[in-house]
Amino acid sequence: MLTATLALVAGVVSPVSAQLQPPHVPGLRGAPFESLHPPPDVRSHGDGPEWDGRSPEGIQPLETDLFTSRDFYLDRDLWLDPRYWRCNSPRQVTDMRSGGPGVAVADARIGAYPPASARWGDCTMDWPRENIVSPYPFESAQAHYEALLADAQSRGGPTDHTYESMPRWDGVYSEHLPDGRRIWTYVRANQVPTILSLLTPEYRERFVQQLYHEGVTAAHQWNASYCRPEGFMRQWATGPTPNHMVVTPDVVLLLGSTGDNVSRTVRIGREFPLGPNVPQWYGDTIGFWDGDALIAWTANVQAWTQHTSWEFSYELEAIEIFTPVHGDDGALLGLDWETVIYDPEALEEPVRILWHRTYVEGWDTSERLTFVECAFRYYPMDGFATQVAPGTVIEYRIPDLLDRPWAQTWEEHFEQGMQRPDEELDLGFE
Amino acid sequence: MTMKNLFKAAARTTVAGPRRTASATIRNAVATSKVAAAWILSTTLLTGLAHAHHSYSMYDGAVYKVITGVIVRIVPNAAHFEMHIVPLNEARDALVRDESGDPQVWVVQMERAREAAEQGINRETFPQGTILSVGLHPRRDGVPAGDRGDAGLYRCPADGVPQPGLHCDSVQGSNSFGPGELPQG
Repeated sequence: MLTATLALVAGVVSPVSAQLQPPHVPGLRGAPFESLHPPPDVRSHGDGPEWDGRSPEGIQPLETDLFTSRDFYLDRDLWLDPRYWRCNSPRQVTDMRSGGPGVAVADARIGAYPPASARWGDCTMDWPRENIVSPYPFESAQAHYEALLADAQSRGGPTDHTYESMPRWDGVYSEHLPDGRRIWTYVRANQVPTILSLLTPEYRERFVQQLYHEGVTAAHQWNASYCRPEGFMRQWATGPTPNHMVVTPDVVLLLGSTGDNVSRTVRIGREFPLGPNVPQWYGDTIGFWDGDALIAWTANVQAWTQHTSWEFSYELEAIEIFTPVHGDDGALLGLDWETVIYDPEALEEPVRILWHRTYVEGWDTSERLTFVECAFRYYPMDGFATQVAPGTVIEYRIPDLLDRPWAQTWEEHFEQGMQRPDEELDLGFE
Repeated sequence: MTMKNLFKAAARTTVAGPRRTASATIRNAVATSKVAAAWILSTTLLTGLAHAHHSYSMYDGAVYKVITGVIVRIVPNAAHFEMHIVPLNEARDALVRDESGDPQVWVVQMERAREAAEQGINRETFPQGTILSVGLHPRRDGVPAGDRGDAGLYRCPADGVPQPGLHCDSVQGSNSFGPGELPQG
């Protein structure tokens, strides 16, 4: 667990607002948060060259941390100490040399003599872990779904909507960002050890590996760079968020596209399986209506990664509850979108996300929904995602797509000599 | 008209007799059956080239090769399911390796992932280390890859390795996945 040497301060009780206050059904959905939600980003401890590598007053730096380490695998005992990360959030580690995605900066936080000059984050900030882990008692998505269904049935549900009675959610949505605050899965609001504490040992190591190579070697292997799929969990971060909806009595479509496409279909009243046993990048989703709430269960998800955050496994399943928020005039303000992620292979316990999508406009006025056909722009050159001019001849090692291709690049180019746990291929023959 | 489609056409017209005999019948039918060719042409016109999104000219449709080896990974690509296999040597006691000493991985292409799933081929039934035998049309250029076509696929039992020179279909307790038999050499 977290080292107790640093004072970690929680936020304050959330102010009352229409958004992010879904109906609370104790033990099932809509549990309130005890801290400000969405949480504030971890701040930088200081800006400008004078803060290069300079620890906050009263904080004793570790002799070895992420930015001075020669082999992060050997630092395992330090990973859960915020000082190992210089109190930076995962996103701050990732953005040590940039201002975030799409933003180059003149005064990078990695400092003048990288990586040792990396700047510190605010050690007093961390969103409490208690806000992240699921407040519900279920060990599986199936159990949670069945309990939600039983609850609806106890009140005469599930609701069998017709075109006339169904919620009119069709249209385009944007992200709800009160005071610029984002949900925790952007990994901007937590100290790294808090996120690590959610993960099983294997997935904890994978996350550390990722942060090392984003923050220290600056070899970001983001999926979109290589036209790889974004994967299921990218819906809860910057990326192909499903911000378009189509609602019919039989299916709810969740669509979106930025650097890549997301296309999800919630099949109302159906049961698993929805097809042959082939993992899907955005899983298979079934659901039902409980009044004006849409309750969905997703399974059969392709294991994958999301940059700057944790990898997820084939065991991942999700429960999602969409509830509408209306203004005083009855107009749709948006949707509260509560999600509980179950992934016993990657997560020590289920985690919960509560997001709000703000209704913007209907399909009758919105711009086109672009379907993205990704064309290669970057290739891994010496381990770095690199633009290559037409006509250039490069050496290209074909990655094993389903064996963590991002890690293959890191391990080939940047981990020679490190004490990485032995993962030699063993097929049972010499 | 590709050889692959001709195999399918012939397969549809050959339904009787032992499976291995049927397989031989298929091969014989390929070269001679104008009826089958006409039938598949009309069928294709009716149904459209639903799966045709790349050429099969790289595969030698006149040759069926059988690989017996060990699964490294299955890749359930939507358009073309893949098996990555390291062949065993003829003695069936070691992996085939390339000039640098690394295991030589063959990439065996199939049709859509859903078809493989319907045949029971998935991560659970073919975990890494599984020994199997599969027929394929090899690439013409010698690259270690091929297309399964209509060839059979057999999985050896967990504790079973074929005798030297033999394949999984010879091992008691083996399982067949999908239609087709292992082509005879």
